[in-house]
Amino acid sequence: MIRVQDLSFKRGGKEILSKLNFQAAAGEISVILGKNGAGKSTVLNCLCGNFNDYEGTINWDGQDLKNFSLKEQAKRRAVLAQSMELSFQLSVYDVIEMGCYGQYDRFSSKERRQLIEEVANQFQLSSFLDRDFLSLSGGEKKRVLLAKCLIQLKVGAITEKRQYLLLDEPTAALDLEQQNLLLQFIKELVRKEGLGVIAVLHDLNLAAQLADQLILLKQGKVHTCGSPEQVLQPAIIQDVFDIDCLIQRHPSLDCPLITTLPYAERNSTFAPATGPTQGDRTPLTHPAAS
Amino acid sequence: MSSRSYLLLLLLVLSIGVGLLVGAYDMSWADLWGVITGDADDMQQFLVWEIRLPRLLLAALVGAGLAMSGAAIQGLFRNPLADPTIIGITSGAMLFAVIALSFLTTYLAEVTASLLQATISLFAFIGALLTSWLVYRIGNRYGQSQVASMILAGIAVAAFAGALSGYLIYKSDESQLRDITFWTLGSVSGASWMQLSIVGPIVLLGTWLIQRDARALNAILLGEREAAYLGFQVNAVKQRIIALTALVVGACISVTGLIGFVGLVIPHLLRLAWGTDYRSLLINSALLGASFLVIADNFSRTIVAPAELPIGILTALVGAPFFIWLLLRQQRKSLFI
Repeated sequence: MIRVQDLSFKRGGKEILSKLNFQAAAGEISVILGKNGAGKSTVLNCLCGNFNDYEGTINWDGQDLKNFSLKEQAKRRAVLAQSMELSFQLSVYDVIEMGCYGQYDRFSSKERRQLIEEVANQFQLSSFLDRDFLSLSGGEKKRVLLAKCLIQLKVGAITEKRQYLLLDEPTAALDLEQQNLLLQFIKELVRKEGLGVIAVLHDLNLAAQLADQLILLKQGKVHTCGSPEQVLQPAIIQDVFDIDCLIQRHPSLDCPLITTLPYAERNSTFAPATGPTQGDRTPLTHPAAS
Repeated sequence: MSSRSYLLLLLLVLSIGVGLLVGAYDMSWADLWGVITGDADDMQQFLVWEIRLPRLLLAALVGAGLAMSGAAIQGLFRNPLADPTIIGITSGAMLFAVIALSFLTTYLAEVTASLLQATISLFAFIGALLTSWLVYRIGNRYGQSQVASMILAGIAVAAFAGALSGYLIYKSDESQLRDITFWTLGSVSGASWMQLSIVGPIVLLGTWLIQRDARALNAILLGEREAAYLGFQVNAVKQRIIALTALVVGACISVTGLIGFVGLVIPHLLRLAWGTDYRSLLINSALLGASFLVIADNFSRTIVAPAELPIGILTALVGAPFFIWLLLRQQRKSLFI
């Protein structure tokens, strides 16, 4: 269990987070949502150990995060970052193998190869292992990095039982198929390996499908926290995201389905004037309007 | 070590073997065997043990040091076109060597020539360490060194040191000018066992310590944060690599003068052939760099024999066209990716 207690963070005299409180359990997926600038990335940066000058405490399975060295943190959590910069050619195998670096000397090269092939297989990457990482598509790169994260946690599991995966907008810039594939893999990791996941997402519907717990941030504070059903309500979403929406039940999945309403329908003064290009268009009628 | 490293080691041993034979005075393998078994005349003994062997070993050490440092700095800065020049090492060594040559020549040359040589080396070494420390301090803000600001600091410090060297060169007389020019051309001639006993330990220890950070350098290729997520103390790695590079390259060029392009060409050649994995790239760079400089020196002693071509001319002659080819190749690749 990760307990964030009264987490505050200032940068350049400006308060970015103020007295944040939430918990994230192992074996569950917690998704952090909020507008741009609400503090989502800052929270994640604090959890990843990038920022150490925060106030409040992050209690990590009973211990203060600040007591952990980078090496200790690497055993307890893996991070799937947003950017994938690489200036030299490295094979997919080499990139995945980096996950082993924390416990490098504990494994023979044969054991490492076995572990990597097993995980590559799990993520449908077996045929990619010899390819150049830079030649892969965005979705494939994300899967390779996720495989690296899993290897890191697997080798770290020698000493640590409960482990977490921190995801920074994992589906950003991926096509729909790759988004779904990646989310399936993440769900599977939680189910099979019992990992705890904390993810920053932008897409409310992906969040509703994925999350056990939603944490809504507004201006550096936790606005609402709870299950998707509890949190995803028109009034709350209006307050956090400044947008009207319609909440239905997803026709096939057991989760809420959010349809946002265009800004123009909310505030008629911003509705575009009926100009020559729009005059012959049939106005769209939204289900909510009827 | 992998089989590839042994192959490169064999290349190094062979090129040193050939280097012992060729030069202004040619020897045969039989003569060399005679020297090893002590069955040769004094002149041959002296030539091999006191002139050619120290010189070839110095070339090998310097080649290894420059190539491995180049590979490490390229990885640290995640920039394929970086080399130790980027942290101000060369410009600082140059400035201090010019200071020694301009102000101390007249006093020291009267004592002995070798004392002058030793003083120039010491000055160049100090200059290399001082400037790279300065560049690191400027580029290191909030205790977090930023790659971009370090590169800019390196350029600024190099320009300033270059201006000071330029002024001293402008003020120098004919014979000083010649000495300075030769220093910038680089040469391993006049190598002695004394020099080797200083440069050898620094280069060997430095390369061994850099090799220990091979995995961290691999992880840094994915980004500094990514490396920290894997548990590496990125700032400590950065400080170590920069300090070790300054020590190794400073020691190398302080005795040989400026030898360009080794740190750039050798790691890239190996990347193209065998990939970027730093666990093998660093050691292989050292071995191939050593062979490259030994072979270049063999040519420099035979092309215009009995005279000698400064080795820096040869490395730049091979290195510069390779560098251009590399640039063109990268442009073409970026068009297609």
